[in-house]
Amino acid sequence: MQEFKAGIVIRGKWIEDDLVQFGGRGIGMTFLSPDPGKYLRILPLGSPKALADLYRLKFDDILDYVDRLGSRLYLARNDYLGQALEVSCATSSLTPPVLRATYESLPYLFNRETAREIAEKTIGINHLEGWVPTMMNDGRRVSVRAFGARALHIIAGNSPVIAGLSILRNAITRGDAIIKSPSNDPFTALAIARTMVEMDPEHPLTRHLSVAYWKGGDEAIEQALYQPRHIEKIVAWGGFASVKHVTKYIQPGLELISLDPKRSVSIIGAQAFESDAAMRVVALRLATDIGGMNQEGCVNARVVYVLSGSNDEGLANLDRLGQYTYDAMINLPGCVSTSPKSMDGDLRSLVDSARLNIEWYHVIGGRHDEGAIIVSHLPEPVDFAPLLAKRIANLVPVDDLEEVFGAVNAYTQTVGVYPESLKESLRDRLALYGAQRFTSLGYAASPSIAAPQDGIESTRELCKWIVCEDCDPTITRPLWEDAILFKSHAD
Amino acid sequence: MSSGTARSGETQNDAAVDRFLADPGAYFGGSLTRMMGLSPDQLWELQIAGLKRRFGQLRGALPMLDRLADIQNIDAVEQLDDVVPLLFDHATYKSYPASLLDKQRFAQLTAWLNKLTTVDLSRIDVSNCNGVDDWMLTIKRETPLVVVHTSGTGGTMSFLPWARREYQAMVRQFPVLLFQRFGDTAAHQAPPDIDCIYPYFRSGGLSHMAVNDAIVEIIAGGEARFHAAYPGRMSADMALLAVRRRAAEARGDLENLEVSPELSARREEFEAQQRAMPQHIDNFFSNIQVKLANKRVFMLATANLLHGCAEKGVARGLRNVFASNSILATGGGNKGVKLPENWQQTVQAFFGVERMHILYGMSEMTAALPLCEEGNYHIVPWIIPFVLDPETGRPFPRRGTVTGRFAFYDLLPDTRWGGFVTGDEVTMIWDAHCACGRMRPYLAADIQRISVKRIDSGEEKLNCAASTEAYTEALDFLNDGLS
Repeated sequence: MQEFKAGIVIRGKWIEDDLVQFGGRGIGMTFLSPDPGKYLRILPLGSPKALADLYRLKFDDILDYVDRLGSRLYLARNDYLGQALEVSCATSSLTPPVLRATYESLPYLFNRETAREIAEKTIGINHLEGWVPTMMNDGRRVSVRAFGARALHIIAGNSPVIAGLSILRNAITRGDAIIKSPSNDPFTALAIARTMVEMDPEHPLTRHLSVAYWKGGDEAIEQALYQPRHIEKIVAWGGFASVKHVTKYIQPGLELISLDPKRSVSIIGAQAFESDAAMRVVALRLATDIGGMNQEGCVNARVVYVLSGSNDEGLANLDRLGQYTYDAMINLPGCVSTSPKSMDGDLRSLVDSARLNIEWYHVIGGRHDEGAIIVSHLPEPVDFAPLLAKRIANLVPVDDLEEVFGAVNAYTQTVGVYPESLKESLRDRLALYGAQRFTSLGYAASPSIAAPQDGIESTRELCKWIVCEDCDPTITRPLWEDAILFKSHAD
Repeated sequence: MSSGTARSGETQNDAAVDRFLADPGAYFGGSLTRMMGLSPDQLWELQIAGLKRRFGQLRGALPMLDRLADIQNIDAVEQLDDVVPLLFDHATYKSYPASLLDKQRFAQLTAWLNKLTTVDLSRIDVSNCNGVDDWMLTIKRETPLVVVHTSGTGGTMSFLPWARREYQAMVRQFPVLLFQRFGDTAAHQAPPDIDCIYPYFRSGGLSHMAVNDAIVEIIAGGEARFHAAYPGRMSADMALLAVRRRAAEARGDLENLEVSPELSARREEFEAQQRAMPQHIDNFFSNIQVKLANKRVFMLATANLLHGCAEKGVARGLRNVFASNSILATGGGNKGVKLPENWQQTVQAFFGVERMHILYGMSEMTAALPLCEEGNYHIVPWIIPFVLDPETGRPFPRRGTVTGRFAFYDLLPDTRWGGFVTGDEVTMIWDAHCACGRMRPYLAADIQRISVKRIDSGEEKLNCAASTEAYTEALDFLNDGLS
C-alpha cells in the first residue's frame, strides 16, 4: 500500500523533514508527517507586529490573490488536491463521488466574487480596508477598524470545504492562521497551502498561513502553542469532546470561537399533502436535506416534524411521504449522496429493533445499510434520535405546531421548513428556543457561506475591533470639567 | 430431528434432547467432568438438536421473533449459523419508547413485553401500577415471569422476561459448575442448605439480585440461611432515576431532570432505606462473625460488591472469615469496573477462601462461564457460541482462533428467545486444546466492551461499580431535591 507523505507549511515554506507516522486503523490509513514538536519554535508568529505586511495590501490585492489561487485549485490540474482527494477517500466518512464534487467546488469558493461577498456581508469591506468614522451623541468622532488576529483553527474534517473556508476567512480578515488539520481530512488544507507557496511564496497572504497535523489532545504541543503570547484566538470546530478539551487552554488574552457540534431538523406543514405531486416535491427536498453530503454535516436533517396529524389518515399520509422520501433519497445523484461508506453496528441494531415494533414505527429501507426512513406512529421521535446518522432520518407526526417547540434547543442549527409561509410564523419563536438558521426545505445542506453560522458571526469574531476617538473639548464635555457621564453634547 | 450418538451411547432422540434442555447437569449425571468433556461432534449434535427443538417451539409463539424471522424469511434452522440473523440484541430488549415509563403506560409496556415471552401477560391488570417497581412486582406476583432490568446506561433500561423456572434451571447447574473440580470422577452434588452471603440488597430487578430467589431455594434451602447486607429491594424506579440523572448531568441539563410525583410520593420509603443502610451493614458483619465464622458458605456477587464487602470487612479487622473450601464466585472484574489491581487478594484475605470462581455472564444468559485454571472461559454445552464480524454482523467461521463480537444461543430458556448478540469483543479458540482438559471451544480471558469509546451513545451496560454508586447518588438527589 502506498504510504502518503504530508508536510508542514509554515509561512511560505514547505517542510518535509523529521517524518513520523500518524494515523492508523482509527482513520483508515497511516501517513508520514513532520514531527510538529520539532517546529514548535517557528510555528507561531513571533510577534503581532509581524502582521504589518498585510496592511500594505489593498483589499483588491487580496481579491486578486484569491482569484489567482482559485484558478489553481481545479482538481484535474492540481496534483496536491488530487492527493488530498485520494487520502480523503480513505480517511473521510464521505464516499468518493461526494468527495470529488466537494473538491470540484473549491475554485468557486476561492473566487473574487465569493470572497467579496463574504467580506462585505459578514464584516463590511470598509471596516477591513480602513477606519470607519461615526459621529456620536456627545460630539466625538469614533472610528472603528477590523484588524486581523493570530488565530489557531482547529478545523473539522467532515467536509474539505471547511479547510478552504478557514483559509479564505484568514485572508479576508488579514489574520495569521495556524490550521491544525483533522485526522479525517489531513491533506486538504495542506494542499491549498502548498499551492499558495508554489504560486507566490513571498506574498503576505502566503506568509500568514501555516498548516500542520498533530494528534488532537497532544498535550506537549498544545501546552506550548496554546498560549496568549503565540495566538489570540482559537477557532474550534466540531466534536463535543474536542471543543470541551480546548476550553482548558482558554485564559485572558486567548479567546475561543466555538463552532459546537450541532444537529438539524425539518418542519413540514400540512400543505405537503395537498396533492400527490406536492408530496413528491416535498419528498425530494426533504431527501436532499437528509442525504446531501451523506448526512455527515451538522446542517443535515435528522428528525423531521410533519403536520400530518397522528390519526390513522395522518399516519397513512406520513407513511407515504416516508416512502417517497426514501425513494427520492436513493435516487439522488451520486455526487450529492450515496449509500454510506460504513455502517455503525449499534445504529443498525436500533433501526432493526424499531422495525420489529410495527405498532410504533414503520421502517422504510435500511436492510442493506443504504439509509432508512423511520416513520414514528407515536407523536415523538425515536429514543435514539441523537444517534441518527448514515442517511437515517425519523419522520414524526405532529397534530399541533406547539409540539415542535420542545424539540428545538441550543444544539439545533438548521431548521428546514416547508412551505415558505410556515417559516415566517416559526422563526421568531424558534430562535428563542435555540434554532440558528431557517431555510427553505431542500437547502439545508447547501448554506450560504456569507452569513452568520451557529448563531454567531464567526468571521467578524476573527477580527479585533479597534476604536479610535477624536474628542474636541469645545464640543465633547471633558471629564475634568464635568463628572457626569453620557451627556449629549447638546445638553 | 437430528440423530446421532450421544456420549453414553444413547441416541439423540427427542426425549434425550428434552432431558438435556431441562437440566444439563442432570443429563450428564451431575458430573462436571462429563459435562465439560464432550468431543466437538458430541457437542455439535446436542446443540443442533437443542436449537432445532427451541426454534420449533418458539417460532410462531413469540411475535417479536416471528416478525424478525418473517422479514428474514427464515422458517427452519439446519446449521447452527442459520440462527444468526435471528439473534436479538440489547436494542431489542429496550425497543419500547422510553416515554411509556414517563407516562406510566404500563399496559402498553406489558403488551410489548408479551411479544418477547410465551407467558401470557394479556390477562394481568397493570393499569394502576405507579412505577417500574410496581409493574415488575405485579408481573412477578401474577405470572410465572420475573422481569429483569439492566442498568440502563444512556437512560433506557432493557427489560428481559425471565421465567422463574429459568432462574431455577440456571441455579441448578451451580452445584455442578461451581462445587466440583473438573477431573473429579465421582459426581457429587453440592451439600444443599449451605449458608449464602450476599453483600447488597436481598431483592431487586437487576439480574444478579433477581437470581437470589432461586439461590435461596436451591442452594440455601430457605430464607434463614440467606444473608443479605440489606434486607429490602433495590428500587428499579430509583435505578432508572439514577441513570437518567447521570445522563442529564453528562448533558449539563440536570436542572431539567424531573422527578415524577409517584416517585416523590415514595420519599419516606427511600429516606428510611438510606438511613437504615449503615445499621444493616453493621448487623450484616456482626452476623457473619457470630453465626458464620469458619463455616463453608456460598457467595455469588459482582466483583465490585465482593470487593466493597471485603474492604469493609478488612477495615473492621476481619480476615479469613469463612471456611477455606467456601464457594466464592464473581463476575469478571475486567469489564469497565474500576477495581484496584489487588482486588482479588483483598477479597481472598477477607473471605479466607482457597479459590475464587471468575465467571463470564450477563443478564441475558442462563450460564455463567467459569474461568479455568489456564485462564480461559469455557463454553458450557447449553450455550451455542458465535463470533460475529463487528462490522457486518455475519458469523466468522467456527474454526481456528477468531476475534469478534460475541453472540450466543442459550438453550435453557423455553419461554423466551435464547439468541443474543452481546456488546463484547472476544477471542474464541475453536480448535486448540486447553491445558485444563475441558472441552473446546473457549474464550480468552481478555474480554472488552466493543463500544467503551462511545460512552455517550447509549450503551446498555453501565458497569456495576457505577450502578451502586449511581443508586446512592440518586437517593441523595431525590432526598435533597425534596427537602
